[in-house]
Amino acid sequence: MEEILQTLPPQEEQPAAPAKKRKSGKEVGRKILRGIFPAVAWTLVALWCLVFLLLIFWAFINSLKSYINFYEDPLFFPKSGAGYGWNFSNYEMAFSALKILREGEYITAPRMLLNSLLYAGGSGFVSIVTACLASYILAKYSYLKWVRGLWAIVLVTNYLPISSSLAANIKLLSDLGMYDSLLGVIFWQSGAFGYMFLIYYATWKSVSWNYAEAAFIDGAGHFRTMLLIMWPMTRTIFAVLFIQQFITLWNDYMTPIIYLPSYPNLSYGAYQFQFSVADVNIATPPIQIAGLLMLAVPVFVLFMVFRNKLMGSLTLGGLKG
Amino acid sequence: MEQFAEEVKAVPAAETGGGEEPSAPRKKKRMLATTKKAHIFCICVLAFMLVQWCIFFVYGNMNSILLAFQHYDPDTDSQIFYPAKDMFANFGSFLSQLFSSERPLGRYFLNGMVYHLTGLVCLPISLIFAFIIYKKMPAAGFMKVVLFVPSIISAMVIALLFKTFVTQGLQGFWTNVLGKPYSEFTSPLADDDSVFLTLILYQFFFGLPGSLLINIGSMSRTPEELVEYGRLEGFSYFQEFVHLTLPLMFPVLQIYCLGMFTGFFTAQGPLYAIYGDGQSGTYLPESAVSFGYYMMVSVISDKSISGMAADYMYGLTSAANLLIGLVSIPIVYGTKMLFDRFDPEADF
Repeated sequence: MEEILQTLPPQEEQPAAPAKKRKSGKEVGRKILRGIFPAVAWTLVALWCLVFLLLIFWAFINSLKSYINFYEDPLFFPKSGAGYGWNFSNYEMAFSALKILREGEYITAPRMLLNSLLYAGGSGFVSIVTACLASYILAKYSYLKWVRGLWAIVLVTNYLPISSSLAANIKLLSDLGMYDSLLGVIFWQSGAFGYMFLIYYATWKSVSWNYAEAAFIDGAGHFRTMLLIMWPMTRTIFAVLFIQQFITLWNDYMTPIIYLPSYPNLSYGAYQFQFSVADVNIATPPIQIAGLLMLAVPVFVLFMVFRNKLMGSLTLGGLKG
Repeated sequence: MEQFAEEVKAVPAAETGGGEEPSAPRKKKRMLATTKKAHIFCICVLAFMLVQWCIFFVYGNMNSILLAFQHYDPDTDSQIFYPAKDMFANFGSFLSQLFSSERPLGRYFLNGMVYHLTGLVCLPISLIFAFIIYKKMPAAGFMKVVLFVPSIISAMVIALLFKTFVTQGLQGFWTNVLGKPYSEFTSPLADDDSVFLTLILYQFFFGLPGSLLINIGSMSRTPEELVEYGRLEGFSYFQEFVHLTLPLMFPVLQIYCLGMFTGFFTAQGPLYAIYGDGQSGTYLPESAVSFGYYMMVSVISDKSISGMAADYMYGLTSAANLLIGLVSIPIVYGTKMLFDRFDPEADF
């Protein structure tokens, strides 16, 4: 017995054994935790993607069904036979049926497309230009006292949770003769000191003023320096913000509904389509779904073309160049 | 030319406050010349934006405040001021409706807050989603695109697809798969008992990706050396997420939360996209109505949910908007102070 005891480690080292055991238990637990978090999180993301893709897939196959087929079976693939099958013509019908009656005149899909382009392109471009210019001044000419003061006002107004009411906006635009006017609404939306301003401001802050100094030495004025030297360095950001704004405005249906009733865009048209009861043979769910998917196609294509730029550039502190 | 070169030198000197110090009178002369040009340039560039801002922000807000003290006069077809003794009539009317047990406004208010709080619940999960993409786990590139799609497709398209699925799709499941009679099916979006929960689930599900790009962008700014250091210390993904990623994202989280509290009382939920103004043949159960939706529809749609012509609602909704704004100020600034107090002051 004594021999056995002698082989044991000294007394003070004895507690090490259970501690080691506990440590290994902890390690196992930590290993499990190490694996559980990413596994559960990844599964959640994968499940979300699966459910979302299933919804889109469900919408796609149902957009190709006949009216009867949809009501008989709104879950699975189109059946074959007379009155069933894959109705690709639903998309064509959706495009031709997409119209809004406004003061006795039908506004059709091509005109809505034009309105969409004018609204999203015009308002998007003007608002990014104003944000770019205002942020340039506030970021680069902060040595002027009033510019610094303006910056403080911009910060305060961005944090203040007060905004004019919807009723006041409608009244204001009506009083100014800008209600139901495309140019008026573009002017109204061209505010320079919002979200894009803050992003562009951070971008200008990261661009060195040394380039401008060099341009001044070479004889350039303030305007030329801004336009030919400084702005080209932020072209990518300008494009990314413009595309983002274009997509947002393309999808916007509330502004045309509230402020531009005579200039319905495609989003407005697709939105109204669900309430259309003018022709029950056309305003069927498969054709409505086809109309909705059709509306999403242009922005999806735009996104896929520019996805690397769009998805690789944005951070809240600014944009990578 | 020489004068111009001197002027140019003065610009950075003025901006940085540094540079070689010339003698005082000469400096003053040069500064005046350059700053004058700079002033003119800045005013020219900002003129359009300042005019726009003065009209739509300053005058727009003033107009909104004034409207809160006015009411519609059908004789003159305009908004006129209340007499002095009834100056606060709109505020009184709004508050009495809000706290009256006979009027539904209080419930609408609570509904809106629940819709909005769903976003707060989504926030931590959306950060975990972004973390999975940021760590480039399997299929992260594909999942990134899928998660981003709801941000580029119109919210209206998504809402209507959801509506069609929940109405017609589930009906098909009910009759074709479960074999139950068609007449017994009620869409969860038309049923008073289930509509609110259905809309909350919708908000929750589509709120999960969150601001994916901003989150990934912020996470990718975490210095690689720090991540390496954590790895050498034996950090798990969870520990890295909690101890490295989140503290470094603190300013972004602060902005999110401030944004959330700004719209706390006026959240609409997805009601307008799904139900429209509730007049065009769609049935909107009252148990789902939010205050933001009520306010909006009252103003843009005649005799809608409020039962009054839009013009009559301008004063009341403006008063409500003003009161909500005033109540929001201490909440927003209180939240900001709270965040500043607990800021881990981690820096990139």
